[in-house]
Amino acid sequence: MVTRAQPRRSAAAALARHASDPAALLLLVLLPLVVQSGFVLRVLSLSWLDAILAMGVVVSYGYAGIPNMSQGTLYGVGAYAVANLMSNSGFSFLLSAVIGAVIAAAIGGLLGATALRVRGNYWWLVTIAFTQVMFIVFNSWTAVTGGEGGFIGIPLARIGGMTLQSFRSFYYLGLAALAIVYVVYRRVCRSRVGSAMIAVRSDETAARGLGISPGAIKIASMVLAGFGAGIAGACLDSITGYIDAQTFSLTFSFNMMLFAIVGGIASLRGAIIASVALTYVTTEVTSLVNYQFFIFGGTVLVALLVRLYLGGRSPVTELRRRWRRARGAGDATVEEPAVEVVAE
Amino acid sequence: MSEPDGRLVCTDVKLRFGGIVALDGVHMTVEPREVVGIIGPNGSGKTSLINVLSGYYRPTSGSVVFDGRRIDRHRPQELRRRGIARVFQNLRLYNGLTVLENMELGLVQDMSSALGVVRATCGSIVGRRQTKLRGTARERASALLSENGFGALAAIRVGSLSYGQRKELELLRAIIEPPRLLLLDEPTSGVAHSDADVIKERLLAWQAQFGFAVVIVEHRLGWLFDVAHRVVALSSGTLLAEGSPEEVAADPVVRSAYVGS
Ligand SMILES: Nc1ncnc2c1ncn2[C@@H]1O[C@H](COP(=O)(O)OP(=O)(O)O)[C@@H](O)[C@H]1O
Ligand SMILES: [Mg+2]
Repeated sequence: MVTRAQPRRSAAAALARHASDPAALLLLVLLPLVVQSGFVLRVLSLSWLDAILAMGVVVSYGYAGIPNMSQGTLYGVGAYAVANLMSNSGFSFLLSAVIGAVIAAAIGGLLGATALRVRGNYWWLVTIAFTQVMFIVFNSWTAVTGGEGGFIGIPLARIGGMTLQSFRSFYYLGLAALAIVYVVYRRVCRSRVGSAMIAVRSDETAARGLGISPGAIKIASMVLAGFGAGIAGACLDSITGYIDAQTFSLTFSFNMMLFAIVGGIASLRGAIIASVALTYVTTEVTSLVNYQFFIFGGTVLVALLVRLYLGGRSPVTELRRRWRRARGAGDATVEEPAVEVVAE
Repeated sequence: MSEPDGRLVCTDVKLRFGGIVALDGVHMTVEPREVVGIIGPNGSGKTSLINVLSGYYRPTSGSVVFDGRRIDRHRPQELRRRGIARVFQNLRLYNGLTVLENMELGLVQDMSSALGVVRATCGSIVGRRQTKLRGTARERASALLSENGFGALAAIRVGSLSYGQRKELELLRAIIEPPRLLLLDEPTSGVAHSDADVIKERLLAWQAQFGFAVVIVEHRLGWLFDVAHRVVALSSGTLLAEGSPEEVAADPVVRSAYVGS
C-alpha cells in the first residue's frame, strides 16, 4: 500500500495518521454521556465548525496552493444566507443549509477565479482585501445582515421533527456537519483530483503538460472550501441564534489559516485536531483567553521549528527511528526522504 | 485532410519576444510514426519550437496543424488530451510524490477543462465508478513500472532517485497514456552514457510498441542519429538543412555551423 503524500507535516498530523476515523467518531459520539457541562459542549460544538473551516484551508491552500485568508468570510456568507432564508423566507434548516452551502461555494469559486489573474504573494493580498471589504459589507448592509447590531432571532433548527435546542443537540449537529464535510474532502483529496491539486501547487507548467487545467483545479478547491464554510455557517446560526460581523473578521480567517498550518497544512485530520485543541484551550480555560494570540503564535512557531529541525520528517517516525537505533536494532525500513519545505 | 491522420504540419511559424526572433518562418512536417530529430546551436530556437508544438507558446504568425486541425491557439492541457505529450529539458517530476503517484498523474483523465474537473470531483465524492477507474489506472501504472525496472521503487519518493532514473521516469510518465506525438527536449542531457543508452533502447521499444511519432531535440548527435529517421537543423530560428541523418551529418552548411560547438 502506498502512503499518500503529505508534503508538510507536524506533530498533530503524525498523531492524526495513527488514529482510526470510525473509532474517533465513536468516541466523540459517546463523549456527551460523560461530559455534562453545557459550556464545554457548546465550546466543542463551535470548535467542530472551526475544524470544518480549517479543513477548507487544507484543501485550498495545503493541496491546491491558494493562500486562503477568506474562510471566515465564506463562513459569514453562508451564515447570513441561511439566517435570511430561515427567518424571512421560512425555509427549513436543511434546505437553507444546502442553499447556503451552494451560495458560499459559488462565492468561493468566484474568488478562486480571480486567482487565475493574480500570481503568488499577491493572492494573499487579494483574499485579505476581500475579507476586509466583506467585513464592511456585513457591518453595513443592514437589510440583510442586521448591520452593526447583528442578525437577531434566528429560528431554532428543526430536523426530522426534532427541535435542536439543547447543548447536546448543538454538539451533535456540529459533529455531524464535521463528519460529512470530512468525508467529502477526504474523498476528493485521495482521488486523482487531490493529486492534480498537488500537481498544480507544485508545478503548474508540468501539470498543464499532463493535461490538467490549473485554473479549473484552483477554482474547484475554492468551491470546496466555500461549500464547507457554508455548511459551518448554517450550523453557527442554529447554535447561537445570533450572528454579527465581528465573528467574520480578518482575525478569524487568519486563525483558520493558522489551525491548518499547525495541523500540518496538507492534513485534514491534523487540521481538526489543531482546531479543536487550540479553540478549546483558549476558550474553556478562561484565564487563557487574553493569551489567545500568544498561544496561537507560539504553537505555530514550535510547529515550524520542529518541521525545520526534522527536515520535514514526521516527529513520530523520527522518534521511532531513534528508539530503534538506541536499542541497537537493525533499521530495515526504507528511510523516508526529507521533503523540502516549500517556500511560497 | 480533416480526418484524424496524426500528421503534424508547421507552416511559416514565426515567434518573437519583443525584438528577439526565436523562430523565423519554420516549415516542418512530421508524419505518423516518424521520428524527427532537431539539432542546432544554443539559442537557435529548438526549445521554442517544442513550446509552440506543445501549446506553451503561441506563434506570432504561421500555423500548426495536427490531425487536420489548427492547434496553434490551443493550451497545453488541451493538446495533451489530443495526444501530444511533452517532456521538458529540465526535470519536472513531482519530488514530493511517490514514483507511482507521478505515474498516475501521467494517465490522462480529463481534467483539462472546468467540466472535466467538475466531473472528476463529483465522481470522487459520490464514488464507485471513480474508485474503479482509479483502480485500473493504478494497475496500469504499476504494470508499466515493473516492466521498466521501477517495480521495487513504486512507493519511493521521486526526490530520492538518481538523476538518470528521474530522466527515465519522466519519459515513462509521458508515454504511460500513449500519445500520438511525443515531444522530447534533450532527453539525455546530464545523463551518463550508459543511462543514455538505456533511454535510447526504451524509447525505440515504446515507439515500436505504441507507434507514436516523436520529435527529439538532442545534443548527442550520435545518439540522435541512431534514433531519428529524419533530422532537421535549426539556426537562428530558421531551417538550415533537412534530410536523413547521413545527409545532414554530411551537409557542409551544418558542418560549418557546428565547427567549435
Ligand atoms: N520566454 C522567452 N522570452 C524571451 N526570449 C526567449 C524566451 N524563450 C526563448 N527566448 C529566446 O529565443 C531564442 C531561442 O531560445 P531557445 O528556443 O531556448 O533555444 P534553444 O533551445 O535552441 O537553445 C533565444 O534567443 C532565447 O533567448
Ligand atoms: Mg533548449
